Amino acid sequence: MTARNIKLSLIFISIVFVALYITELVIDTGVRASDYSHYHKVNLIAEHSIDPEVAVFGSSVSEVGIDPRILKGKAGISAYNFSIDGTRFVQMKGMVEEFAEHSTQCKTVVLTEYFGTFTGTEQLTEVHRFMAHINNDNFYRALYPIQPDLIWKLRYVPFYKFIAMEHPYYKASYLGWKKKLGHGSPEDTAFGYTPKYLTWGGQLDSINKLSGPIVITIDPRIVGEYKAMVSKLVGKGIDVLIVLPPVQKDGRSLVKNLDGLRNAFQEMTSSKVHFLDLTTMPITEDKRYFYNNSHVNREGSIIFSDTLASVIKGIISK
Amino acid sequence: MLFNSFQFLLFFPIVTLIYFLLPGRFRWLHLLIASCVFYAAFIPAYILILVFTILIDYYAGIKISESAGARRKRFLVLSIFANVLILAVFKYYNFFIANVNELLGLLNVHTQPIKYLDIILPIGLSFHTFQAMSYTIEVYKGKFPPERHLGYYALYVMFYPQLVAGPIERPQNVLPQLHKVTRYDHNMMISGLRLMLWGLFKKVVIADRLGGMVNEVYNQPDAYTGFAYVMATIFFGIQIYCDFSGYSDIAIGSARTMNINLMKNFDTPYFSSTISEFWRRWHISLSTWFRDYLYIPLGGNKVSYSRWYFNLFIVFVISGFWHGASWNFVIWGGLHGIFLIVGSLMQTRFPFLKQKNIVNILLTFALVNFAWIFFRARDFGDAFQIVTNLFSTPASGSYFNLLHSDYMANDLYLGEPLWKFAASILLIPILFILEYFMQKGYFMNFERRSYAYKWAVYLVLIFAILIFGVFDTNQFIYFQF
Repeated sequence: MTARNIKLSLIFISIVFVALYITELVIDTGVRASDYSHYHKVNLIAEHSIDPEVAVFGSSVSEVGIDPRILKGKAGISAYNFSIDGTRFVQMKGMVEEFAEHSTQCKTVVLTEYFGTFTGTEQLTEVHRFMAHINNDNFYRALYPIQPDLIWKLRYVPFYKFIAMEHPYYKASYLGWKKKLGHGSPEDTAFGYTPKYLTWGGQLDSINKLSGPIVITIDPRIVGEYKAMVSKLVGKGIDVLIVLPPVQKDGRSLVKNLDGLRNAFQEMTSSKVHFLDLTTMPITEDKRYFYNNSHVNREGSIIFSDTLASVIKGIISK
Repeated sequence: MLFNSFQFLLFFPIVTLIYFLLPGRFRWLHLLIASCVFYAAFIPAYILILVFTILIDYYAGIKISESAGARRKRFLVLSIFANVLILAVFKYYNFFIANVNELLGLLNVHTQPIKYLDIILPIGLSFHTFQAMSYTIEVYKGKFPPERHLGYYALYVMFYPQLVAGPIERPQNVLPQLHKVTRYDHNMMISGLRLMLWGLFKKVVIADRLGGMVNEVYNQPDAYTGFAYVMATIFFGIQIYCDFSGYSDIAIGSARTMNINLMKNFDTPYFSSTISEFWRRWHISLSTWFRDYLYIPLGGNKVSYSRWYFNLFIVFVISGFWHGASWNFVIWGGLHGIFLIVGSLMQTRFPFLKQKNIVNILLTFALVNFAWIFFRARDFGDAFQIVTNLFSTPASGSYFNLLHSDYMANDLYLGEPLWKFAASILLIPILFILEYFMQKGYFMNFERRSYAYKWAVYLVLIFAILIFGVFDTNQFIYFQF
């Protein structure tokens, strides 16, 4: 290998590294500034750019079910719904902890749970939503145990992010840059809430008839992690309201060991930790309020949010 | 270890660097250890199978050269028997038992079903057993002297670039190169890396992107319309080509960086104007293996017409069976045998069918793709259903109506959004245009072009791989064989 070959190889490798570095930086900067979809919620928390008095966390059930505007109207406090669809507690934990660590105004955190809260998983959902903030320690600590290999590489291996970037990531980056250049999307007037104007489809009845039981499993390790997170929130002087949301009656009959889940949450209650079980609230008898077994539509969400607001108001007034 | 994995990204430069730093006499050991690590990344215990066949074939090779007459043949039979036995146990036993159980059921023989073996097919078994057999056969034919050094022989079988999916090499080509101590060659290094980059592009950008859509449609043989099955079949034809030729390019490229030239395995097969030409350009190392060790010993074409057609048919049926223990593969092989025989008969009568033109190329492409249905479908029932559904139309009677329904348009775009489907379609002409220019020798002078030009091409490929590539540890299709 001649000196010229070495020199040319080094120049080429440097060009590749610089090009990749700049590209990654441009993409990530765009995503971090983006208002697009769930990237917005992750950004709000990672950049500490919002500090509501009531913060709602959960998955799609909560995202479509809890309207912060109703909480604000009834309880008279600022609220934001940080829920992200398909995201289990173990994955969401990092967001909750990051929020609590930097919040100065939060009075109550609402944790909206579902059947899979204490079920173990080895598969992250839509990891790219968190990727622009993978260097955030709270996010990293929450994501790492689920897929250690992937998360470690995303944080420490240069340019590994490229292989996990998907179409929405590029779109988020584009919209982020657009916003930076003064063409941002309209303000989120629903405060993270995503209403669904859908109705109960006829095929759901036949699916329910054919469906096998949904058995809730409870992993003591995850229960332990949950308790630890709740303790951190309480340690910050924040009230924690754990909510089991409404489940349509027919769908509920398929669920086994719901009592086990209820008991696990009940055991955590204290003067600062409250548990609200809405799985059997009256609207669950009526399919008009649901678009599937566990998700309420806009009509259902109004009643669900209203009920929740009353409870939050009670907690705050104590 | 997969070529498109993070492990290989570390493994390859380390192994190559150490290779050139080591004195020549230790290189075989280094490559052998590296190859063991490469193979053990799949299922470590299966390395014992390789050890078993290596020892037998090494011993058989020496004994063949030292013996004469019937004794010489006995050692060849021993080697072939050992390799075929391994294949029979690990690859074909459960298929055989499934058929026996089925047959007993059909005959109303009430007996306990014969038990299956609870084993996983060792990665690349068919490849390294065939490579091992080529060694003893060549020694038997007197075309190559036996390898006396066990380490070098083991490396011939286990050389990591071609261990799990070929090219299925011949001892004449590889063993002398393994013995030869060469110095670092910058041109070979760049040429090898370039080939690897192109192979990786074909694998992760084209094959794996099309693969998602193919899986979606082929896993639901009655859920889509004819258009979707036709598109998915064409996509599969492109997918398997990019997957396998991509693997071969990475294998050949990584060997080339160490100054070892492996045989060419693909030569733009979809530009073939006849099926026989297709088989001269597709999986060349396997086609020539069957030609040299089965077709010619059967008499090749130096026999009567009927015997020749029988030879062609049987070779392709066995070739199909080599690919997998399933009737689907047998039918796939048989179809190609029939295509060849019918093609040969028709070309005698209609010589224009042999001419190199776009019509014959498209006809050959269509026939090859039709046969791929049997190769890709999960079982014969699915394949039959897909063939039946190839000409089905939407319930509404018009594809135009589907386009006007967001929900139903999904059916046209093979379960993907329109942009993904359109991008995938676009990949096909890009591939063919690039391959066309390659075939025409446009890239022969690539090395002489300016650095700005060359580096721009490399950067585009690297970015295309990173941004458009699919990285969910998809195995290479041919690993299963």
